[in-house]
Amino acid sequence: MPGPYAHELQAGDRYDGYGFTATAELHQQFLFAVEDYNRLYLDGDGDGPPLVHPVLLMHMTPRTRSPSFALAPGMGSALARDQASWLQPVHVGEALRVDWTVTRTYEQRGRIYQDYVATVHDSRGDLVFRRDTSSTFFTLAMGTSA
Amino acid sequence: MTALLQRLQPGEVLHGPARRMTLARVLALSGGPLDKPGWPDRNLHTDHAAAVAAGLDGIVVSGTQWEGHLAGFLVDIFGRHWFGGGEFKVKVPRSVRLDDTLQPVVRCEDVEHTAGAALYQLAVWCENAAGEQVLVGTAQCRVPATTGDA
Repeated sequence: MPGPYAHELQAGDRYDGYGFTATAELHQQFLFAVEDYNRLYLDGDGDGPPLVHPVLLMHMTPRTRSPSFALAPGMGSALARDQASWLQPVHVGEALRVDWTVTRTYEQRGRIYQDYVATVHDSRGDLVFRRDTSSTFFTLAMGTSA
Repeated sequence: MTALLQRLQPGEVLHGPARRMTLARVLALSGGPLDKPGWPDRNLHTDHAAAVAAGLDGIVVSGTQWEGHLAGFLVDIFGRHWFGGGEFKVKVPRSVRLDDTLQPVVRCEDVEHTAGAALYQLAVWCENAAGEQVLVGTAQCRVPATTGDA
């Protein structure tokens, strides 16, 4: 029996967090994906290993990455609005943790909306990235997942 | 300070690199880690059948792909300062299909000079080859006035 479905979560509820390491291999895969080879991502800024491209943190922070995320059968979700804040540089090789908290749920024009915040902390416990997202749920055949 | 940032005055419009959403780059972003058994993941961003099962007529490219293009262009402009407080707020008004070509664009709306820093306010968007916006929003970044090596 799965836990609560995503659309059932309410303000204050959390999706399970997870950890990942921004390995050189993973990072270079994403540089290829976005065709971006700025020297900051290859050589760094003179203060440690290369900097991690913003897209890697964005890719790792939709709630769909959470081990506990589950859509109800026949239901999809889509991005409505997205606010992303880069707060500290992240370097290749760093271990990171992602957590999600639902901040608001509401209905509008017959659709369920859910706002949530994703946070990324480094191994020192510093907040390095924050993302505030508004999403909507729909029955399949209407849109895309996010 | 980057050459792009030197040009960034109110009213100035800067265009980033145009990039085609090829299957190879889409798989790299949405297919999961390359060393994952069974790569690539099958989902509506990577697999035609999965997209059709979701009610679509074909693969749609993940919005993260061109949000990443925009964020990368903002790093091109602001350099390492983007990683110390750069922020954007965006919406994605339409979907993107394989082989569409997209380009990030920024327009400087305001530069507020405060004690020791300049706060840049931008309008941002990404457009396809037809000139349609596939992402639209705002961005801001604070650049310390004493730093000349962004």
